[in-house]
Amino acid sequence: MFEVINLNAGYEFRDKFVHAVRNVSFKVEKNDFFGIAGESGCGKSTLVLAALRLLKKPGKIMSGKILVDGKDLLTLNDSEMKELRWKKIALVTQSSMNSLNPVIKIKDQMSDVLIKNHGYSKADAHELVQKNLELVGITADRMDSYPHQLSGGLRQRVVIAMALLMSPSVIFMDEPTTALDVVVQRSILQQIEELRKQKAFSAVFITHDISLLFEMATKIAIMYGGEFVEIGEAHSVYSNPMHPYTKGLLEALPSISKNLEKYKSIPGRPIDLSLNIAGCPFRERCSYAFEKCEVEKPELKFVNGRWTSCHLY
Amino acid sequence: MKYIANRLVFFVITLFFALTLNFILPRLMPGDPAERILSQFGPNVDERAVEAMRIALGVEKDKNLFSQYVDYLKNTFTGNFGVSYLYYPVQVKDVLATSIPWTIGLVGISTVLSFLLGTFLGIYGGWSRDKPAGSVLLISSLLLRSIPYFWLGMLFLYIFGYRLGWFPISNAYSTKETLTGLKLVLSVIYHAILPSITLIIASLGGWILTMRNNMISILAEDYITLAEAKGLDKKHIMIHYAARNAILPSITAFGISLGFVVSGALLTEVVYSYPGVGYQLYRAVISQDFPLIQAIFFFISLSVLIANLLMDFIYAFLDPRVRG
Repeated sequence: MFEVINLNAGYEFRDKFVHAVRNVSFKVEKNDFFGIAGESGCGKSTLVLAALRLLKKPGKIMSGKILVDGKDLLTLNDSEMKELRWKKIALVTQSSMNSLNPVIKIKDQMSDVLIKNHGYSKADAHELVQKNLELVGITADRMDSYPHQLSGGLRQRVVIAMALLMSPSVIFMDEPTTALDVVVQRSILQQIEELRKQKAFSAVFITHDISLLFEMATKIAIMYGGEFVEIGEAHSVYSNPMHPYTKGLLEALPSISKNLEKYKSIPGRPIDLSLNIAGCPFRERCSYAFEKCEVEKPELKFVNGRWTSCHLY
Repeated sequence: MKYIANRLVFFVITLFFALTLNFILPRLMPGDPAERILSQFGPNVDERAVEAMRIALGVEKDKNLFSQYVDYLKNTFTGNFGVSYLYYPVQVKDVLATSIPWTIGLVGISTVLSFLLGTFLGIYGGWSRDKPAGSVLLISSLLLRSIPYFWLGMLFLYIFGYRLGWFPISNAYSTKETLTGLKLVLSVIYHAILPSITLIIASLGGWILTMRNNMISILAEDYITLAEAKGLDKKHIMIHYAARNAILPSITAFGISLGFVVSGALLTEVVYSYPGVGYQLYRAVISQDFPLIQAIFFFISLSVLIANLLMDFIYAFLDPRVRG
């Protein structure tokens, strides 16, 4: 349904190339909740932008395929892209504060895509907008509001309702709850789960909050240094992490039941994405590293029902 | 509505303060204005002449400051600014009546044109900042901005007025013959071309850069990414998502420069001997024509305040956030 094959993307500057997405492949099936987790600066957001063909200069897709129902996005022309956008693939952006245009009424910025690109009449578009706002618990009297008149949580709900408008098959969510407090976060996530059951869309959910993913995702990918280092079913990754980085992330999670001495952080800092590192990019922070990690770069291998890139396996 | 009422109250209070300041400032200057004026005519001044001058100026010794102030306010609102020393015995209001229209016509129209053109180019420049056209626009607006406009004015005057003789080198219309109707209008436009081009070029770079920078920071907002993800047309995103937000700070700057239209483009008017307020202010300062200076200051304050009030209303119309 939605598949990324060997995607390479990054940012081209005069004197260097920041290789932010390195050979990433993944497949999102119907009803998947595909979670992608990683530290800040690991290339998650670049991956989302590249996968939606939204990367702007100096960003650039170097190679790869992005298949939507078998069609490669990278080969489509502008009008084919326009037809497909929002109908097949939609986006929920990072911060609830700047996701909405401050000078346009909610109903108008939700309906513009319907009217301009998909032939809806104004009345039909507004009716659909109202229906979708009600889905996320926003009453019709808010349609005439401007974004600043809504709370952060409500604004994020508006953005989610906007993504749902044309019942797309995949919705990309780039840290949709990051700017919100935990209580609002929780209720928005529950809402997303309910909507997913109701409207049967797949989600690609990007976050640095890994605990949240283990709770909600069906599949999970751990991203490090622009690459996926472990991909598998969420519950099995949680119960049996294989890659040392995944292990580190799980040990770093605070827990009420675990005692605090077991609560460890991963030493070191994320790698510089403009460097090409021979060997394993994680080796300097890895407590399992041995000679082979210095010289040979580990490839993704299918072990124990999941993909991992580590010389331990 | 509450916003408008708020702005109006603010307008009245500020105007009142500006008026008061305009009253106090000349009175803080050392010496007696009557003596100062009369001393121009020689060292031995008759005390009765000084007294007569004091009465004419409304600064009699036996009159307290408060009643002077009341008179001043009364005179200001009835348009009685006294007699100009420079154009004695012409009334200040008559001097202004013949110079304000010229300035508003020349500087006002040039300011509006420059703002519109600069903003439009800035929108384009910000939108296509990665393209060659965007770079050309950036470099040329930086260049334009660094040209001193009085120098540009003199250069134009020398080349197109003096050397090539294409344009007149002074005045607002031809004084060689008596013109009426369409001929007068054409003569006025002909005389305004050089100063107006000078003014437009002088401020164009600033408008382009302001708008371009606003555009670039707005283009990094998430709602632009979202609009692109929706597949909206580039033009629609450029106008309704980017420019619509980017123009807000420019509107404020436009209000400020509109307010200073009345004060005229002093140097431009001096260079082109254009009979506007800037030129009169220059001459009034040179010849210490205090009534004229005071009246011009009053009109400058008034126009700045009115322009700001106007922009507040336009801003409220454009930005729902300030409406509250």
